[in-house]
Amino acid sequence: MTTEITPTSRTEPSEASRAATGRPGPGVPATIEVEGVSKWYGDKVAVSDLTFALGPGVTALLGPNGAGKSTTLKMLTGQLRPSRGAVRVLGQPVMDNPPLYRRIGLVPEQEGLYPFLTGREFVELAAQLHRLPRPRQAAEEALHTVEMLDAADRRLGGYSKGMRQRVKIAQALVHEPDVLMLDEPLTGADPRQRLALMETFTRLGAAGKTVLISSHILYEVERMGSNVLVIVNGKLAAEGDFHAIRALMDDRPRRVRVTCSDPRAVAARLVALPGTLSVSVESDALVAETAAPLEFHHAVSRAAQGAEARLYGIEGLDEDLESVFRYLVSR
Amino acid sequence: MVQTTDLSKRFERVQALDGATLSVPPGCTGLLGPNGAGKSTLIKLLLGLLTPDRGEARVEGFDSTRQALAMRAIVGYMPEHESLPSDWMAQDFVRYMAELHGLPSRVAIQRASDTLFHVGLGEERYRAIGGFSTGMKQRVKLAQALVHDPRVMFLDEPTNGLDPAGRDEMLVLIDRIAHEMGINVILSSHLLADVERVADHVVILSTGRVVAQGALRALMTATPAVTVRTQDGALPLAEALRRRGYTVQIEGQELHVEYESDDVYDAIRDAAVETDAALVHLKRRVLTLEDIYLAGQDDSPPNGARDGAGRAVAAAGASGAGGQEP
Amino acid sequence: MSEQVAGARIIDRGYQHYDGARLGLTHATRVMTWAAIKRALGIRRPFRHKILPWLLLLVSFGPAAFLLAFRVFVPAALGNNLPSYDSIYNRLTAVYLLFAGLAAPDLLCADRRERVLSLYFAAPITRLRYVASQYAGLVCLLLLMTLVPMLVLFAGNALLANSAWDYLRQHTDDLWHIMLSGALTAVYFSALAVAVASFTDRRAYATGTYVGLLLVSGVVSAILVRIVHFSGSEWLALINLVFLPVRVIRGLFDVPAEPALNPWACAGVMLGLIAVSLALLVWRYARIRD
Repeated sequence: MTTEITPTSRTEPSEASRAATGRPGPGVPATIEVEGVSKWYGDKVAVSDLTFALGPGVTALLGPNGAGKSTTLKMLTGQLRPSRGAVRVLGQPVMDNPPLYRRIGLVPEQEGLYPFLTGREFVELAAQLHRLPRPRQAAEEALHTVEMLDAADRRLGGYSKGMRQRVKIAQALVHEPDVLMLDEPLTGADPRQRLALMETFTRLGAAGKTVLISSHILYEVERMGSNVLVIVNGKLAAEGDFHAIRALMDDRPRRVRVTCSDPRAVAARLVALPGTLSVSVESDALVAETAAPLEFHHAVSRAAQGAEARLYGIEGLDEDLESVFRYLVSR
Repeated sequence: MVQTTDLSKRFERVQALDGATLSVPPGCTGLLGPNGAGKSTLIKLLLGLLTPDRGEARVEGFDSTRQALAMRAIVGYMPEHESLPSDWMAQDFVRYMAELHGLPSRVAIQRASDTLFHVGLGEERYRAIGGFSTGMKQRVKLAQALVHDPRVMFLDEPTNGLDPAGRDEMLVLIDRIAHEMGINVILSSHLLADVERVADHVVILSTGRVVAQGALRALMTATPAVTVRTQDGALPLAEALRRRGYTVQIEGQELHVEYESDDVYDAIRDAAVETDAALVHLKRRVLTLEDIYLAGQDDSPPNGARDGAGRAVAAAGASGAGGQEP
Repeated sequence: MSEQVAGARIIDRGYQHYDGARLGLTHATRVMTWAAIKRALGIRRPFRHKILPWLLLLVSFGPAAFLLAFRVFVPAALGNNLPSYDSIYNRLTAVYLLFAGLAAPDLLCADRRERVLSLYFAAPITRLRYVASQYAGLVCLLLLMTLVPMLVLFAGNALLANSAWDYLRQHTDDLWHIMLSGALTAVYFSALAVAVASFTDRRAYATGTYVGLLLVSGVVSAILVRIVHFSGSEWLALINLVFLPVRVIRGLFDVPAEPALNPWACAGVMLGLIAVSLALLVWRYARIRD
């Protein structure tokens, strides 16, 4: 007896959460402001002339290994002083500003946990350091959010990497910060834990927190929000909604795959369009390159109808974040 | 080919594997499961690094416990952790691993050099591993697993720490290894999209048991829905389809059209021409590996009771218990 | 596969399978032993890893080399009281000790700390063969230091004597004693060193513990022998782990040691310590679960 496996529905963001796009705007002040920030170590330039602003919502910090993402994150939390430029978080300078740190939560990539503490003790310690009125309860809630309540009373030394990661997230959440910065937060998490954590971050973003996530797993980052900050070779390569960035990439034609019953006949008609740059034919589909995507998408059904071909599928091949990223890195 | 029969292993208070029975055909197989489900225990039992309490594990016909040495000669292993000596040169280390696997030294030197080249390490192979980036280290780990021409390779989180370009290259390599070089690959990963990309089969574990196994394409069955996205004008298109007698649900610019037969494709095409809709996306909705995986995590029967097509028979229901780790 | 058409060809450089011989455990063990020897000498490693081992190696050849050189070139400068084999062993004990204490952690600790063992144990070797080969490599190097200089000295003495053949016949005993002394010393210090190194992942701690343990044993033994007096209390001198080999060596060469203890008993204790050390080593590695 087979029961239905229902596909996981990807919930559309609600109206309210649509406001929290990660970008500042009219009525939405910037929560993180970076101006002309550079960092060098002797001769080596880690980061050069960064200028951007982020608002409430989820933003992804992307870039190849060694591009300067970790350096940037450290400067955003005041752990590292920029060689030049200024960083303001929630309207205040972030350097040497302890009261501000209570409103910022950081999940760094490196380890550095005390192996002899239990998970609960560790998070409670963080709560106490933030001088929360009810540290025990706050720790309990944070641990609940990351699904670590069951294992909370075991020592950190005995945790797996995924468990340590979630405890780190808990300690960053315990004081309910307005700004949350996470460096590869999903490391070591299994698929279900990843989904749960992604949901948590999305929820926090929708609730108006500023969540900056640095990650290499682009298809996951894509699901949490569309605002991105891309750093390549120490410089800012792009910022904003990645769909909009894609639209700006007009020196790159769109590639579309059309699966149909008579690819050659349909291709013949699509090639006639002035915007079509090339079409390649496969056994069950055609892949077209077009400089005029809208016209193309309007024309596909007509072409199929005219060729009396059955249309099984239409798919844009380079619309996703992965394609946009690849393009930005290679420029 | 890899097989286990009623494989069980207990560590103190935790039953890491509980009667796991699985059969992995040639090709590339994804090994999935929550943390603590027994994936690493399974791999260690298959490599003969642990002895089972009960049951049997076989790799390419060799019994993992009783014929461990013969089996390991034809098996390659890429562990999750660093596992590389920092002061060896890459070439020296890969050659050493080849020799440990029984290759004579002249052959080992040549194959080490060739394998490092195949995984994309050129001149760097004469430098100490300690100075390598994460991507380069992962490649060295892959090379040492491949150098002795194994029949089976176990890869544990091979894309760990790699940036998007590195991940892509690693997956391309794994794909080539499994599908061009004819080496069976067992890939353990938490990144379902990676597994979906390269695997032919999957085995899904949960709390020490196999809850699903089968050919990926067979498991990723089609649902009775077709997804259509338009640039705008979703409503008119939906109306046109409804007039043709199809049930349509709208979510923003996305339509979900009920599928009963392939005729629906023609209906969509004609309705699009009729309303001059710009069809941006059209696809029969198919179960993703994520759907299958999540379904398998709720109260699944042991050893993945399967129906004829290899589909997991899972009780649909409330979300399962959180990942319990030993 | 390559394609060939009228004198031109494209050669397939792709991945090649290997259908040749796959050698067994003996070959792998030999490879591991040889790798241990190369590693301890710093071969194929940055220069700084070569300095100490080669220096110690040279120093171990020092006494023999100097003695022979003096006898050949400046015999008049030497007095009559030439150092005997056993006294040279005594002087060089520190060198042997230090070499073992530096090499054993180098061979064992890094592989554990960097988790390379998970790769090794997934190869067709056994844990026993792995530790045995690291131990064997170390012993080989120490034999190079404990045996070869003495044999060279012996050979030199023979050649410098009036009749080499007569010398050989008269001193055959010495030859056997040298072989035994060298072997025992090498095996002993190596065993202690690998045992200590199997207990910690950090090279510095292992070396420190090993050297410290030996020195402390010497101090403690000296004090106790001085202070404590009861029937049989001179056996407390056996606590001195450093001097133990020399006791046995002196016994072999029939030279009295201070305090005088039955050399057979000392040999027994030494063999016992070797056995215990190796047992500890094997036990530690059997328990590793990566």
